[in-house]
Amino acid sequence: MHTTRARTIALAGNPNAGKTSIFNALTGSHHKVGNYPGVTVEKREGFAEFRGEEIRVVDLPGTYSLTAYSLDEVVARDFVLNEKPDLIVDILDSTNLERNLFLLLQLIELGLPVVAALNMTDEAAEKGIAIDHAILSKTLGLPMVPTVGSRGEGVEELLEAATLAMERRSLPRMPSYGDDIEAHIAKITGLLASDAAFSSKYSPRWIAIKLIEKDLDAQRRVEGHPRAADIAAAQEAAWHWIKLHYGKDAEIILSEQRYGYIHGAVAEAVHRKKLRGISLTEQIDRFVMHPLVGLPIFFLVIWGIFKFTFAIGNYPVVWLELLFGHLEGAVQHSGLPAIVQNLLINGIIHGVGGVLSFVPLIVILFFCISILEDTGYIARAAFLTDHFLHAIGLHGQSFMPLMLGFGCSVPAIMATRTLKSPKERIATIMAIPFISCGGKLPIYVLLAGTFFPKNASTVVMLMYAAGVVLSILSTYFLRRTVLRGQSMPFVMELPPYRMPTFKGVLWHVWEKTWSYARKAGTIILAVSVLMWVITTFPKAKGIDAYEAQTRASIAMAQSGTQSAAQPGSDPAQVEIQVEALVRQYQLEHSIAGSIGKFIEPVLAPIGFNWKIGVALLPGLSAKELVVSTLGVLYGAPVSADDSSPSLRQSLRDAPDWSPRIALALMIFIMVMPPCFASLAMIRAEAGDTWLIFQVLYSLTLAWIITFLASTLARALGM
Amino acid sequence: MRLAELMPGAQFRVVRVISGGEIGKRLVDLGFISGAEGKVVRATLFRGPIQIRLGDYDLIMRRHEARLVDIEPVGELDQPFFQPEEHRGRWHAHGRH
Repeated sequence: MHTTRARTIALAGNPNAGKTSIFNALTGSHHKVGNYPGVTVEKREGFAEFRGEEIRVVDLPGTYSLTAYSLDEVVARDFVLNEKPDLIVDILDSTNLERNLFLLLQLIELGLPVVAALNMTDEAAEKGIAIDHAILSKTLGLPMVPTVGSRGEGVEELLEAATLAMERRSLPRMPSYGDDIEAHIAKITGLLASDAAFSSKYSPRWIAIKLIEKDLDAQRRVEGHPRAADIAAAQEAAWHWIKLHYGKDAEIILSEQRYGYIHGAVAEAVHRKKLRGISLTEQIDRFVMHPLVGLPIFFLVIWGIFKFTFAIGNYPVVWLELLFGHLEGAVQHSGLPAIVQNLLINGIIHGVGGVLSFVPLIVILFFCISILEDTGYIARAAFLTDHFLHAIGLHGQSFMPLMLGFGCSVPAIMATRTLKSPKERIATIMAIPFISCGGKLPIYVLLAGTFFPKNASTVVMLMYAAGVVLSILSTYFLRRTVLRGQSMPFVMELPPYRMPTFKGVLWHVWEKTWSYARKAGTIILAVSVLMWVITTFPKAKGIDAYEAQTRASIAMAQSGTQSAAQPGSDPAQVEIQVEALVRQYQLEHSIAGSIGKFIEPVLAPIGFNWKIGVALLPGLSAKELVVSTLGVLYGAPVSADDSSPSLRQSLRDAPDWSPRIALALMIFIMVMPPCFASLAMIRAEAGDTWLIFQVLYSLTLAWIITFLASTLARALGM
Repeated sequence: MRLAELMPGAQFRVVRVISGGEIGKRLVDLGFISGAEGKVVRATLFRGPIQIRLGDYDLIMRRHEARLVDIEPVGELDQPFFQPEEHRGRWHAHGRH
C-alpha cells in the first residue's frame, strides 16, 4: 500500500522535553525551517535515514495539551488530523513523566500509531527517578524507547521501533475514562461512526471526547455530519451528566481522569528515591530569581551580552570592511564602464556592505540568545520582568525582544515568536523600533558631539532613555486602543537549567541567521540599488562646467591665501574639495534632491530643510547611511566618517544648522520607521496591515514629537 | 483558600480549579488537579509572579491566575506563610474573586 512517497513521522512533545535535540539527532543536517501555512508557527522538517529508507520527520510545535485554545496546539493537532502522518513520536521528559504522559494520552486518541521516547533518562536518574520502561510500555500499550537526545543515545533504537510500528500499523491501547464516562463516549462514538466518510477522516473516539469537552473546533468538524442533531443531543447529555455527578465542567473532569489513569500507570513503573540536598538549579535560582538581586543580575547579563557582542563582533566587522575595500579596488581596476563601476561601488558594495557589516553582530547576538534559551534563563527573565510589563500591557516574555532592540531590531522582532498571544506579540513588535538600535548610535554621536560638545554623552544617553519612555507610552496607548484585548495568562513551566549543547546552539544560530538573510537580504540589496539610483540620476545638467568652475575658484582662493603663509598649493587637496563639491551638486540635482525639495514643506515646520529630507531617505535603508549622506550634502570630503572632524566642522559652519535642528533630527530619527530590514521582518512576523500601520504611525508620531520638541526648544531660546 | 494567598515556603493541596474555559483547562492540564500537592517556592516583589513546585516540576504564574486555584494548606499554617486577601498591600486593588 505504500507509494513511493516517503513515510512521515510527526514529532510531538512538551516544550523543554528535548524535542529539538531528538529532531536534530534524527535528521542530521538535512532539514529546513519554515512556517506552518498561514501562521507564524515555526515548522521544522527533515529526513531521517533508517536502513536505506528515507523517512520524513516533521517537528510539531511543543505543547502541553491538545486543546483548541492555543495556536500551537491547534497547529499540532491540525497537522495530525489533516495530513495523517504514518506515526507520531512523542518525546517525553522523563524527569517530569506525569505531565508529559498527559499529552501522550491525547496523542494516542488521535487514532494513529504512536511511539514514545523516554528522553533525558540521564537527568531523571540524577533526580532519583527510576523508570522501568518495559513495564510502562506494557501498561500504556505502546512502544517506549529510552533516549538521551543531547548525546544522540537511543535514537537508532527509536527509529527501529518507529519503523516497526509503521509496518505493523499497530495502534496503542486507548486510555480509559472510567465506566460511566466511557458509556457516554461510546454512544457519541457510535453516532459519529455511523457515517463511513466521517470515520475514515477522523478518529470518532477522539472527536467524541473533544465534543464532550465542548471543543469548538471539533464541533465545527461534525457540522456536516448526517446525524449532527443526535450527536449534539448526546454531547449535551454527557456534559450535563458529568457536571451533575462530578460538580465540575466536563473538560476539567476529563483532564483529571487522564491524570488519574496516568497515576495508575506510573505507580508500578516509576520509583522515586528521595534525594537529600538542594538541586543545582535551586541553588542558582536563589540568586538569579531573588526578588532583590534577580533584576540587577538580569541587567548584568544583558550588559554582558552587548559588551561581548560588540567586543567580538568588531573583528569580523573589520574583516568585512577590508573585504569590501578589496572588492572596491577590484571593481576600480576591472575596466568596466564608469557608470557600472559607480553602481557596483556606491550602490551595491557601499549599501549592502554597510548593512552586511552588521551581520556579524547579529550572528553573535543570536548566539547569545540561543544560549539563554537553551539554558532556560529566558523563563527566569520573564518571571522577573512580567509584573512591570503586564502593567503596560505586555508580557514577561516581551522583555528579551525589547532588550535585543538595543542591538538590532531584526533579531529582536524575530525573538517575539516566543510570545503566544497575538496581541501582546504585535504590541511587542510595535514597541521595538522605538528602542534605539545600534544603527542609530552613530547619528546620535555625530550630532550630539557636534552641537553639544560639552554634554555629548549625556545627550546620547537621554536619547536612549527617551526611546525607552516612548516605547512604554506607545505600548500603553496601543494596548488600550488598536491592540486592546485580554492579556494572555502567565503560567509557564520553569525548566531546570540545562547545559546547552554546542551543536544545538550552532543550529539555532544558523537557522536564525539564514532566516534573517532570506527575509532581509534581498530587500537590502534592492533598496541599496534604489537609493543609488535616486541619488545618482538624473545626471545634473552642466555638472562638467560646474566642476571646472569650482576647480578654478578653489585653486584661485587657495593660491590667494597660501601665497603669503606657505608657498605652493596642494593639488591633491584641491581635488578632494572639488570632488566633494561636485558630489554635493550632483546629489542636489538628483531624484533624491527633488524628493527632498518636494517634501520640504512638510518638514519645514519641524525645522528641517531639503538637505535633511534627502539625508533621511537612505535612513530607511540603514540608519547609519544618514551620516554619510549628510557628509555628501555638506561637502565634507569623500572619506568622511562619523567621527570625521571635517563633517562636524561643515555642519557647525553651515548657516542652516543649530543645536535645535540637531536635537530635532535626533528625535525624528529615534521615532521614524526602522530600516528596511526591520520593516521586512515586521511584514514577515506581523503581516502587511501591521507593516503599513507601523510606517504611518511612526511617521506621524515622529513628526508630532519633533514638532513639539522643536517648538519647545525654540521657546527656550535654543 | 486560594493559591495566590500563600507566601513563599507554604505547602498546599489542590482542592479544585475554580474557573472553566481556557485558563481553567490550562491549569488542570498542567497538573492542578484535585489532590495534587505542591509548594510555593518564591515570589517577586509587589505581588508579582510566584514560583510553584507542583509534583515533579516548577512553574511560574501571576497571582491573578493563582487566584483561580482553590487549595488547602498542608502541614502547619504558620503565619508567615499566609497572607489573607484583606491584608494585602494598600497599593493593590482587591481581587475580583
